[in-house]
Amino acid sequence: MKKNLIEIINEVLSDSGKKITTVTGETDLRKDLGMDSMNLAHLTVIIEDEYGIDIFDDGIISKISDIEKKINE
Amino acid sequence: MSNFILNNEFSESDLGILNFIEKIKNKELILFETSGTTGKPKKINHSVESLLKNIKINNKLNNVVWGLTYDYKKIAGSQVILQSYLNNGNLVNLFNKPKEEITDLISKFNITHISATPTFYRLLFGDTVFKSIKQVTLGGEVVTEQLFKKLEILFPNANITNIYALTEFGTLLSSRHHYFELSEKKLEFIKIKNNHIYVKTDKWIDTGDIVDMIDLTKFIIVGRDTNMINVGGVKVNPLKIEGALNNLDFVKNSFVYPKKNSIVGNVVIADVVTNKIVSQIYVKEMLKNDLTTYEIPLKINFVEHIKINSTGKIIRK
Repeated sequence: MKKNLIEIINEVLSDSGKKITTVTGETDLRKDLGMDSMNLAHLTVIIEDEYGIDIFDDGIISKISDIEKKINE
Repeated sequence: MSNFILNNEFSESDLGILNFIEKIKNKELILFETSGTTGKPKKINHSVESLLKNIKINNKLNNVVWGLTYDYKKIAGSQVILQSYLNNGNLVNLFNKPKEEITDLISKFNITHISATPTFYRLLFGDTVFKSIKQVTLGGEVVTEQLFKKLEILFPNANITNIYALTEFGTLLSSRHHYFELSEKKLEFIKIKNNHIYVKTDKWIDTGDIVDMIDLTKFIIVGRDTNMINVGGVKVNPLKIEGALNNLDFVKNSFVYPKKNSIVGNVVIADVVTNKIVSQIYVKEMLKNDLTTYEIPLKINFVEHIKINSTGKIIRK
């Protein structure tokens, strides 16, 4: 079974000891979740593994809704 | 000649070794390929004289039993074969054989001398201790202090010699430690500049091998420039990461490599062979003491084995 976005985000944030329980489409990866470039790189690696797509391949992704759109394309 | 190779049934590789010896007797020019560990393999012609340049003839080496771990078609293999043959020694072909067979052959033929890469020795780590081995030589890859200590346990009766050799020049340095030391005499043809090893021919040549200085004359080889991974502008040494992984008790072997990434250019990925089931998160946690954020692999694949090439080194392509 594929990991959901909350699980993936928590795996990325586990390096910094953070944990989240909810996100909305408006949640911003950098501003709200405090992700840096290495966290975003980590996020792309896990999502590529789970869903077979590179979410950043054609532009900047900043919000959860951007990721959801990519996954559902 | 028939006693030279001790294996009972001759394989194609064994016959190749005998053919190689014939070429040496006939003083033919012999073509070798470098391993191509970091790029395209290079073809180099060697005369019999140049192959024999580093071979020591010594009564103490009579009747010793060598374990050949290298491909006879490569320089490192040729040196072991010649060392053995010219000193009236015996040879057991261990090249490309599985761990269980190697363990059996070492015991069956009482192998006393062995020369191999760190990757080969890591394959042998386990519960068995090899008491018959008197001389262990290693080189061709990065040698860490931890690896050296593990070898002392694996081969309790052996002298352990670490060598730095290049196909083009033969053996340049040897040491009884994980580090090397530059004597006044060595400084005439080897120097360290900007942490790179330079070798003198008609001019100084950058080998691309990178070192960490311990003090003014002692250094450890930590990697090769062309292997470095650029992660978000930071140069990361995969061999350092492999060293940190291999130091973990449950890791038998590892291979670290880059993967293209749209955010930071490249990310670090590791293939790891373990002797127990562990999670990615646990391995990463264990690496935090030794590695920076850029160095800790973003993804760890648990695999059954790491691919190695015919010179016993990990394939880095």
